[in-house]
Amino acid sequence: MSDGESTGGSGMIVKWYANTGSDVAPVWFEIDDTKKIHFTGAGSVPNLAQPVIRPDAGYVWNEEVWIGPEVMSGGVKVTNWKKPSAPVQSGKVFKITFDTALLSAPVISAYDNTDFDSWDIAMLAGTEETNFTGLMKCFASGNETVNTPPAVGWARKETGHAGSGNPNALTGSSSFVTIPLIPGVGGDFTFTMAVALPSDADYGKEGKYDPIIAVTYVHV
Amino acid sequence: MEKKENMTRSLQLHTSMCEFRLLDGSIHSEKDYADLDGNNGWRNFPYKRKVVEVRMFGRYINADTMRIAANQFRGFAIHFVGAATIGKTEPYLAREIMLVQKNMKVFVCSYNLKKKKWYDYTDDLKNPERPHLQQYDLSVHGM
Repeated sequence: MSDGESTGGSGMIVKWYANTGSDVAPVWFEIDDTKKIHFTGAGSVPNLAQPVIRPDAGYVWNEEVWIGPEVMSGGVKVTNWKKPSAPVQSGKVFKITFDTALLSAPVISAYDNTDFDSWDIAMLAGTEETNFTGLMKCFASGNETVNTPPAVGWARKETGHAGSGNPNALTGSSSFVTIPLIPGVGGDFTFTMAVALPSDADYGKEGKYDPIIAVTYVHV
Repeated sequence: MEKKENMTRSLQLHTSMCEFRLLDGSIHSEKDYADLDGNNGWRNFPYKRKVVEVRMFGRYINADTMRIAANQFRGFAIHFVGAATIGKTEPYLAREIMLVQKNMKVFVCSYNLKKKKWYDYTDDLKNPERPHLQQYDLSVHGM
């Protein structure tokens, strides 16, 4: 799917950005379809994503977020991203813009395929340690104009429940975040995401930590 | 007429896994080829003659995997770093570092996270059941 294109092929322009600035002075970097969102450990550099090491017990958050190609080369750090446990939170981490007015509030969730009918990889289904809630957590913070950062500690390992919520885990159509506004022409919404890695996470075979994030929207 | 559409982006959590840094600077992940724990995976890895560094992370990287890699990547520098369980039956978590340099020197050490102590692991490479390792200079440096 190319940048701005959607599965409906309507030609509507939708763009996804990450903030390499701050909430006060955002610098929006476009995540086009040549790029991927990398959740990494601490100390990553543009050409090397450090891993998040699973803990002996409990869970840890990813330490950094980067935007880069499939194998991160020339990656750009999303400097405004914060861990849910950080003492100061950011509301403007990711932004999605629409050139056409929507008819209803968009929904964001995660799947393990582009048919949007499966979410059983470990990262989305969760583990015993997370009480089988997905490891991907999301909070919708409004839009660029009216923005409310999440509360400190907005997510924990077990955050998430069936249906819509904010925050919530992203687990296909089982658990998702409905954006609390309906973007008009040229409108946008903002959000943040984090990944909890529990001690009993499965070994990182192909696909288990490689979900598809989907924004679903309705327009004329 | 209403249209329901999706915009997608791929996300990857970088966690326990293996990455290969090639001479051209590109990074290839474990999923670019095959099962790390099997001999065939290493043997079939198409880039092995270009590898200058291997980084391994994970709790299930065992000593056999490291030995197999040393054999398969003979003559090329390999760098293992990870929080790994040494052997499938040993219960403690350890940090292992193995270096196979172009001069054929092999250094293998493990770090016990609980005892916070480095252990020389290189002697295991002298095991006569592993004759392919005997050609290396088993000098241990540093650590």
